Amino acid sequence: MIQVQNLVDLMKFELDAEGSDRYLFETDYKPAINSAMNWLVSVFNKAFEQNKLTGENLRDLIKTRVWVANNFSRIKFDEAVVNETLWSFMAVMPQPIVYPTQTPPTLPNDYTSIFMADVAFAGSDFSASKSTIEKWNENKLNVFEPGNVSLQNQLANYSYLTEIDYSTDTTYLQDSEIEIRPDVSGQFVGITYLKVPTDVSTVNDSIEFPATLTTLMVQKSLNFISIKQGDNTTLFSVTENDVNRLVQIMN
Amino acid sequence: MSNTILRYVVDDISKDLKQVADDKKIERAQVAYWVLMVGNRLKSQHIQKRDSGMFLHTYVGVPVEKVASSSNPNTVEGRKRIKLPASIFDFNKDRGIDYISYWIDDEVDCPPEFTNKTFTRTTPKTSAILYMDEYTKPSPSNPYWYLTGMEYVYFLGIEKVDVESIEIGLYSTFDPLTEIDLDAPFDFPEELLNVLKRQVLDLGRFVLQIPEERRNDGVSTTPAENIPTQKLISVNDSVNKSEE
Repeated sequence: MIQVQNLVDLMKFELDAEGSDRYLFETDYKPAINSAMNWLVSVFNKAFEQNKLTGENLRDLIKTRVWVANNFSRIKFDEAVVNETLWSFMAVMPQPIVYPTQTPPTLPNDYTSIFMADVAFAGSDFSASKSTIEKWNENKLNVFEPGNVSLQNQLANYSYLTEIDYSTDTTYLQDSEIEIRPDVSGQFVGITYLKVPTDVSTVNDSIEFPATLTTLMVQKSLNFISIKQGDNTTLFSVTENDVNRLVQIMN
Repeated sequence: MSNTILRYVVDDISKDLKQVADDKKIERAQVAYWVLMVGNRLKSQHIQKRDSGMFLHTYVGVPVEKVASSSNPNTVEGRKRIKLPASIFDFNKDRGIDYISYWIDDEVDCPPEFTNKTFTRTTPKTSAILYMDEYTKPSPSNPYWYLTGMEYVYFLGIEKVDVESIEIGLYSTFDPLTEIDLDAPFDFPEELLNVLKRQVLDLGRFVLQIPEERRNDGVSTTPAENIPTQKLISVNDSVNKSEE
């Protein structure tokens, strides 16, 4: 976690604005910090796509929760129910051991998956790899590809398809869902995901990035403040260089 | 009992091939398939070389059925047969089946059930000759079996008696990939594990040498500088031949 107050202090130091009202939290620091957070999410997205980052970089944002898949072996990440905004799925783990031990509840209908708020993920022997839409159908009967339905034993090789909206107006009332194969209908599934960091609202908040990103957050926030100062300012070029260097190191 | 389970063998080879990460190119099921494939070959050679019961598997109570209607191939109406309880090695003279026997209560000294009435192997082609001699004629006390196809064993001599089930001893192959138990003792001669591992590693190494470009992923990953720009000419082309 990074304390917002700490960030603001460091930014004031670099701006030489200690004790000054030239820059205010509500109008300058807060929008800059939130913009920097959004920018970092974008940068990390790109890095994740290229397998250049591991979850350890964002440990404060990683969660593992348990769902029950619907009868189509699909799971909806309902942000309103989970009370978190999804950034990205990191792992889908079928056949989990859950705590406390229990059997999955009965599904209310064919298409509704259930988020298990009071069930903890305790472990699994399986992990589903991500499939592409093109490979999804082609690999269904290929016994050596993830997501095949032929192997249901210890060699079961799970796969999941990215979020797709299968809904209809009347018969399948859902939003986007991931689909898992081989079939996990009515079974528990553990999902590890990244949540989008919560926006800063007061100076007493914390940012859910690891403390190792403090410098990057300071530099990028200053970079956004510098944009207001007009082009070719010293602050812009200095922070731009620092940010580029840090991102390169991270990648 | 074997000290090794299939999971150890598969995971050992997967690790050596560096195929244990999430972006692996060879799935564990594929390594398991190779292990079973190579293992079946080595095991069959081993069984043929040794007079040993180590890999003989006995199945009791295998139900005998009388075929109700014919269908091609290998299903003939009115004949008695069993479905093999496991896949067998195709040894010479059907020696993948070591013995077949059934119990008939006509003995006084009560020998073990499986030695009561033992079937003798024949073939459909030579069966006719058996009926020409009183001593070889198939009968409940002198029954025969023959194999047709990979699934069914037919019987001669028990047509008129009620035999519900038989006992059979098989030299069987490994279970198929879809049914294999990774954590069961690995039914394989332990002294050949190193040969098995080496041969599967060779297979894996060969597979990993197949260029990625052979897969159509819709993306060209060849650097521009490696794309040939000049016409490729065969070494046998006339321009490459010199006058002796």
